[in-house]
Amino acid sequence: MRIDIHDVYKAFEGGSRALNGINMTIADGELVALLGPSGSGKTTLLRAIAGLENPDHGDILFNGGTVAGHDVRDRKVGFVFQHYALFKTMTVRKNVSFGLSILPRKQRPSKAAIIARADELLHLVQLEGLENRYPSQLSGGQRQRVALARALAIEPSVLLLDEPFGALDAKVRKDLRRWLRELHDRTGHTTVFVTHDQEEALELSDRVAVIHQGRVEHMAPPAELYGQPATPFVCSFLGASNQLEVTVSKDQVLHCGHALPLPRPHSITDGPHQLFIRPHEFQIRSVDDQTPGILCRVETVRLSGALVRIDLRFAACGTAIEVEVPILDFERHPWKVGDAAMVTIRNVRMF
Amino acid sequence: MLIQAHRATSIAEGPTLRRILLGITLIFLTLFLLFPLAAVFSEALSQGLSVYWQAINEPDATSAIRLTLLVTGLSVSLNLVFGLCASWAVAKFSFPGKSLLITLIDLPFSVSPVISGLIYVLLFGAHGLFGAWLKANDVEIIFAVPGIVLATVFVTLPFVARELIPIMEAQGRGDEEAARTLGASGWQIFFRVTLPNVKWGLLYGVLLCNARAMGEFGAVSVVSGHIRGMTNTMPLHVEILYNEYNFVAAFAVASLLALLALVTLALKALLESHNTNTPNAPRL
Ligand SMILES: Nc1ncnc2c1ncn2[C@@H]1O[C@H](COP(=O)(O)OP(=O)(O)OP(=O)(O)O)[C@@H](O)[C@H]1O
Ligand SMILES: [Mg+2]
Repeated sequence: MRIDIHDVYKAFEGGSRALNGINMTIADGELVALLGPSGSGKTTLLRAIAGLENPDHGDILFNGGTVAGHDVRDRKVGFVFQHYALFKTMTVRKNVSFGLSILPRKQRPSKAAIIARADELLHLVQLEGLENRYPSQLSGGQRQRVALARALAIEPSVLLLDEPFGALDAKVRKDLRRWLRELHDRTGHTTVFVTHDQEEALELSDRVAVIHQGRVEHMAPPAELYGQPATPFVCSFLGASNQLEVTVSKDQVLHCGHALPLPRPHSITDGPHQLFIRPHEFQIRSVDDQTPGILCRVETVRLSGALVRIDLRFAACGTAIEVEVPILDFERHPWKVGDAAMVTIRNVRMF
Repeated sequence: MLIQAHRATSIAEGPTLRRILLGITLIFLTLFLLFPLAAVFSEALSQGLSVYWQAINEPDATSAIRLTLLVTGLSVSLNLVFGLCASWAVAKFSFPGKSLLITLIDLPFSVSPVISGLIYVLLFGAHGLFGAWLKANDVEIIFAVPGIVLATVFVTLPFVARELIPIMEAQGRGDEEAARTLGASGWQIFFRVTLPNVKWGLLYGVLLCNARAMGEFGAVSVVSGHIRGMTNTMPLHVEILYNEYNFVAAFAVASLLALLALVTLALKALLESHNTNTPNAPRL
């Protein structure tokens, strides 16, 4: 199912504007992540798609037809709630078969068929043997999968998940993440999930929508989002960045009066701008090297797995930057605190 | 854990204090609870079982028992419906005047039962607001069963709602929303999700409501008119018998009420133990 969201606004009582003109299109069968800081409106947007929240303005279309005025029941949307919202007075099997057992008599499968379907779904989410447990007797990851199986039971054309892995530990998260991707590829639902974990969003989804203050800042495939972020917010939100205040004039990029070793970007006007440089986009060389660069002093050196993080300070004006160096490079040239270094820049984004 | 351990040691440190406190509590319990209860039963049975049986089998007594059961049944059912509606509305929706509604639900707790009865006399009595109209249409409320039911409903109004509101509020709307996304209708959500979620709290509220409805004296006394065999409930009947110095009969009927209270207490204890034993049941 294709979902179009046109200019959707939503304000809550008390004046908080949760959605502030959301526009996006989600293709049929796509896996989209909604990523953004806390309070940016991700949950509200997901609930608006499901029909649990009515937009004040704007339209939501399923396969080209508006769903305004369609009740939640009629939208056939599978929703996995952040805290699962499992029915605690029902067993796992009853939970999963709920959606089928409440169908009008004419459409309802037989009791045996409902049980068979529930067990099939429990097999799909790898929970065989737990059919007769109550939700309180399950672990967080198991509850999460029951919630998913329950949502899938009504054969929804859209699957909406609100921070599906939020309450789980890192290991379980990783497993479930991969598993959700496989499930998505197998079933072909249109899937939208909310997360505030950028690694999760970038790794799992076809496209990521970065939401900020009730607006879509940038919606793109992960590589593009990371490589060519559309706004300063997206740039600073996704991954670590060094942010420098610069002035562009003629063919130079100046930082506190000194020219940076950068060509002047064509598309940028003269005047003050913000420069974003990722830690791995710096290159750090010894001062004997004849390449032009920024003279810096090493402040701290930290080992972190396969990378070495080096904090440096510009000799000329004291600006601090963080640089990442692969451990192999570091072994070739083990930097020590107090060393002088020449830093060059491989790639930047300027706004 | 830490606090409990700390408490345990501090109590163990003062065995004398513990004994004194326990002693005082036990003396009070015996004096004010066990003695009177035992007195009721011993007085009721003081002239043997057959006299006891006669006292409660006599037509006026059986009529009082029947009326009490009828009034209790009606008012508990009415309060069940009211309590469910009110707590559902308060817990799941926001609307203007919500806190006023919660305060109003508590009103019967703070008003003397006698006044609760008088309100209905003022409204429906012969000289009341609707008195003339009721008389013209041949409807009897005061000094009749409807009045007794009204007064009892009023007095017991808060029990079910008060019990359910905090439970429903704690549960939030999550389960209902989940059921809606799965395609459930309003009724299906109510009967399959909401009601099972609150069933223990509901039973508890009904139990308390029931106990109070059976024992209510003040409000019912004002509206009943004390017509023997017609508008006398058990508590009223006990009073009449007592005022006639018919102690054995009075205590015999009273012992029935006491018995009902004990059964209620036992059921309440049972419910509470069920609640602490099952992890998935809402705490009362
Ligand atoms: N029912 C509500 N009533 C009033 N304000 C609300 C309500 N729900 C959300 N809001 C407000 O709307 C804004 C967006 O909330 P939303 O829950 O969509 O954020 P979110 O992006 O999901 O955040 P998080 O990552 O913390 O879950 C917030 O400012 C929040 O306070
Ligand atoms: Mg949220």
